[in-house]
Amino acid sequence: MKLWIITGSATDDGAPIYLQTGARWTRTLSAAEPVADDQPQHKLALLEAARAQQRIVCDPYPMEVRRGSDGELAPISLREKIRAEGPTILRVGAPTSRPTAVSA
Amino acid sequence: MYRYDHYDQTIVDQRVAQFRDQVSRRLSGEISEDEFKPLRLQNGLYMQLHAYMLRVAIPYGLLSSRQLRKLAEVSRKYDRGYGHFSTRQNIQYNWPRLQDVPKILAELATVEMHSIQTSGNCIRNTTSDHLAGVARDELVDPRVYCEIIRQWSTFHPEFAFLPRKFKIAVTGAPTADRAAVRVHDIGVRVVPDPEGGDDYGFQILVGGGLGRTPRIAQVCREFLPREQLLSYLEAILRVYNRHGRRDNKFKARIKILVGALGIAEFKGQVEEEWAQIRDGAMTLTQAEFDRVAAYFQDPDYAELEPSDLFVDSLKLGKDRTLGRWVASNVIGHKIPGYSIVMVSLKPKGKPPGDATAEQMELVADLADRYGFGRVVVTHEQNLVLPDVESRHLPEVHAQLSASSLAEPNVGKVTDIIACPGLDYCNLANARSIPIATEIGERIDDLDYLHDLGDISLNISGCINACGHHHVGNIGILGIDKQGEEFYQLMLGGSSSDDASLGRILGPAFPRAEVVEAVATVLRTYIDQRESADERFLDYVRRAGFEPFKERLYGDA
Repeated sequence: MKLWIITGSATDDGAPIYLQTGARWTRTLSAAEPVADDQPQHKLALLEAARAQQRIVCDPYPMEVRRGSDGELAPISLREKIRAEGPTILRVGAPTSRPTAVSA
Repeated sequence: MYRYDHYDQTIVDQRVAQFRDQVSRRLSGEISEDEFKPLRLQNGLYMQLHAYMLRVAIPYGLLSSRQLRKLAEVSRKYDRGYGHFSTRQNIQYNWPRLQDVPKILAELATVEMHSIQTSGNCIRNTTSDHLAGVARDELVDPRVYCEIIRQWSTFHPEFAFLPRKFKIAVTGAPTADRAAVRVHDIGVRVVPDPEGGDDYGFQILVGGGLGRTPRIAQVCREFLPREQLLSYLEAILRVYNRHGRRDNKFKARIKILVGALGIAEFKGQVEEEWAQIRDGAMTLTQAEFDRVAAYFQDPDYAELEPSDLFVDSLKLGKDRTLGRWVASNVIGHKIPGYSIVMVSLKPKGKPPGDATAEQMELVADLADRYGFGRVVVTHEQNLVLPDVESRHLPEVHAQLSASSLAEPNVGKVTDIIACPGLDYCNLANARSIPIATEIGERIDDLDYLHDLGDISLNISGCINACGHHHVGNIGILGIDKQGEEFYQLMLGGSSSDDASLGRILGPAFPRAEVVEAVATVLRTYIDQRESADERFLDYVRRAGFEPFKERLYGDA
């Protein structure tokens, strides 16, 4: 059965953030609250909860995930994998750390 | 170069203040993302995969050393210590925080820069020949007209909400198009007056473009008197604004309108509109031309002996590293004793077009020390030091080389134009930069690279074609096939005087095979060209696709 989480871009820095339990946001994908395909009402409710938080998040949407052998949630599409992990290339310039918490 | 007057500075400062307030209201939750989005886009602020992206305008690619240092400072202070030079001769920052963007814009305003009209359905940064003002084959310095167009189009109330974005390019060299004018919404070519004499005017091309519907521009007017440039552009924009489609963004560019009407009908409507406004307030008087042209006077060049023989001696000298660099990265200057130095932003293993703050500062220092403090950004994502005394070439090479800015590959197959692709872009289907870097690493023999001669290779990560893959001699288009990255190869494209659109060679290659496929294309050319004088593009046009297909696909 397909699993979904809600994601969007943080308003303060544009980084990918994920909706977790209690309608709070996290920058850690594996900490997101998953919802299965057979719970369409819950999925919709999560999306509505996300959309209600426009100050924190931009353009939230559901993304499909899978649960890996280690039990962790992981993205399925390459786009979401790159989005979660950062560019795959050797960057020019040094990467800088980002905050781990989402600005509320 | 052009300097802001009181009005320019006031407008830009007011815009910064306005955007600061908009950002503040967005961060406080007073306005939603839906309300904020059109406001940020009008200030060049996009949302990409990992962060906001700020695009800063560099009018026709021309920078002072002071401006370049400021761009470096901004990248260090507010971003990750680098910037990405784009095919529109602009610079993009990939990691700014929203709260910092007004500060960035305020800092840029202190050096007469901004991000206005770098996004949205308006007239974007007018691009030009990166050799403008110093090219030997130039009839007229196109930057004067670029600046006139910039002043006309900035905040033009009638064209703030066009059906779609609009791009204009100008070239002043009648026989060498280095500005890709034939793949622009409007291409402006300086041409001699057909009736003879010393005067000149413009050939106006219209309806070119790439993206999902690539088109080569068609001639809208063979000869336009130079004083009528703005009135004619205005007439074209009015016809487009009136009839361009707003119901479907994929059919909204002017090329679709020109195609739908046919060039004869389109031209007829433009001429009819023009008849209403020509010789009016938009007529470019000599005084107005002179006012702008005064900013583009030649710097105080020294009277030097011609240096072509000296430059040739460097090419053939014992120092092969210097010789290769001079052969590919140095161009003859219009003034005796001077050379134009192309600074390659395509070092092995690095994203095309990226430059660190330190690299930008070095180029700014070199521009001051060996030139007149000017730097140009090319639409091929390199930089130019336009005024280097030829006798200084070895020193300049040594300093560039120490900072990985002297890859001897300008115009060669590793001088790759690539869009940011799926590593950064929200729209992309596949990655572009890793393909570019792997091709650079695959072709690591410099003798082989130079034996291949001039070849353009362009990579786009999706059909929107920001890497201009249709006009690469070799074009690569990333596509998504059931979640996997695949790449189509195209051959035969050109954005120059002999502009043509590449055609798809055959079935797409999976990610793991595309770099080797490019290597096979190049080997095929080397094996089968008539001589080293036959360019890759000429070979493709002569031999067609069969030799390549045979090697790449065999009987399959």
